[in-house]
Amino acid sequence: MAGYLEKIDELVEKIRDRVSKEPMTPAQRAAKVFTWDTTLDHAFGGFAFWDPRSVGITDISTREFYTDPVKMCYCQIYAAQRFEHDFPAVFADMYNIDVEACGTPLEYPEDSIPVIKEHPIKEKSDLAKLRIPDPYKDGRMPYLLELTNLFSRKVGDLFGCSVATNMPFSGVVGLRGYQNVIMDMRKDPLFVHEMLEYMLEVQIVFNKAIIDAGGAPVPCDAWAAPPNITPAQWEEFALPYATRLMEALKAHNGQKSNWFLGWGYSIVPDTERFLRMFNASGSGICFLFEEDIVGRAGYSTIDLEKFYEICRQQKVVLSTSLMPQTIFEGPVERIEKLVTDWHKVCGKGGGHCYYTTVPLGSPPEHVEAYVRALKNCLYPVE
Amino acid sequence: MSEQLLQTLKDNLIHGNIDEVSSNVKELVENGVDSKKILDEMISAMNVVGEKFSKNEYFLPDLILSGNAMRAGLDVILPNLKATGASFKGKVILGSVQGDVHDVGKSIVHSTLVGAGYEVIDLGVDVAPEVFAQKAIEHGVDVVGASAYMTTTTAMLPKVNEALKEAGIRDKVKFVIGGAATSEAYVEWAGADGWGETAWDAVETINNLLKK
Repeated sequence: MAGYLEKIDELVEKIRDRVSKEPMTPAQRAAKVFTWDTTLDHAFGGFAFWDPRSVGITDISTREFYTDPVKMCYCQIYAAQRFEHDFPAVFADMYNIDVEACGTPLEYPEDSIPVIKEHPIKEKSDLAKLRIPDPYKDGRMPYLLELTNLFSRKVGDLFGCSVATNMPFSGVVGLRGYQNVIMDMRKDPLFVHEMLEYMLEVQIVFNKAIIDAGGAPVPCDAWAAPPNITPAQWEEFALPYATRLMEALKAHNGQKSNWFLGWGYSIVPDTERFLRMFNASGSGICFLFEEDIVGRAGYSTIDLEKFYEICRQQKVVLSTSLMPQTIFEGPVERIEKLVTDWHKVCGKGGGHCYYTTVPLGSPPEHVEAYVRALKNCLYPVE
Repeated sequence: MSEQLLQTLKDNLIHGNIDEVSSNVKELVENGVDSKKILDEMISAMNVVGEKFSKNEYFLPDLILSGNAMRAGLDVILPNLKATGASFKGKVILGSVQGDVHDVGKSIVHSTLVGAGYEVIDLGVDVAPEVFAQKAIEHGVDVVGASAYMTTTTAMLPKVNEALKEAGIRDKVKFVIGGAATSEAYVEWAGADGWGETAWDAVETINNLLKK
């Protein structure tokens, strides 16, 4: 283990040396984004990856990535040095960790993200058997806390320490299974609310522990993003619980947290209303994906300028996000053009950043093009 | 009377009322309505569902409820259809690749293919490459469909292609891929013959591949 800790220290030394030659650190850049200050040098952005091989690491298995906090930390910091992006963070399998600690059995394939073997709430009565996990003892909650603590100590001052976690609706999907939740929402909505109350309690305890370990939780709720559920279901079953989690975290650390919904703004009947409700939920950031901007993968398109303007009015930072498929497919020119075009629209008033995922098999030159494009998007925007 | 019940069946399918669909179909069969006629009505209902989804009037829960209702209805009439020698457009096996337990998209493709007149064998989730090949041989299928929802599991798609080659059936079957983590660019990479962005694209892709 000492080997990887030493490797982390070597990488951190190189990163510190590199960053010291830049006008500001990535954390300072991020702070300017979140205060709508346009005096940052270039666009802020980064990426997640779910397999070490995605960023060229072949001596750590995917299973180790999700079970060994030191190796996971090394991978994130390695990618930050290799590709020089601004936003390495604690990106583990966020939809699994809390539900695993609640009693959901997982499988750990050698070369894939952990997968849920079965959902523990098979019948209504199973909910009463679940207890609130101890984040310092149960499942891999300690793995995530140790990882958060390590990452925060090593590079928190440079990059901050964002930690992807789960939201109540997506947690309930892990406990009960997506199709069962769909049926429950139709046939027994009160039971869905009971499960959501339980999951909310679990997540308040866990996210507070993450804050105490030096992290900034970013609860994620992709299962609640349209079209996975309808806008009416989102309003009833997802948004209220997300809002309550945000309030609980703010009461704990006095800060606004960020949460991730993701997709679907373009396909809801009233995009503006949906966006305003999301922005009023207490999140500091709104993620908008390429699918919704340009209309891919079955999505429609949205008016980016108008979307950004609503976010600006509500003081919620807008993250425009490339599809993983774009990083996989390229070409370089398309990646650069998307980043540049979005900067022209959203860069003028500040409060804008970028995000993507690097999938397995992506050519490194596509990732390099993405990061290079970010660095070429300068402020102020002409 | 039967015409009215057929319309009720269609409405229940469009609204995803599973229990009602099952009982409507049973009643129609008991009334002596031809199973092929019932199937045609169900396919017509699923086309409405697909249209509503493509217009963003319906979301995935609507598709799932209607898809499940379709399957419940099919469970009632499928034995009759087979007994009367009704022919299918082709035989397809579907599965989510090894390491991937996402069932939703594949299930929608399943229902849509059935609705379009295909016989479908659903291998479920977390299916090993060699199982795709074994089952393709066992059932004598025309098409093998593999789904990958996660960026991490797309790596299994070329392995399915390899397994089909090793089993000596690659030139006898069409291999199609899909899932949220894929795009058309994955077709060549995975050694596949086609890709579908949505369930309806998947049907069109398979229709076109089988015409060749």
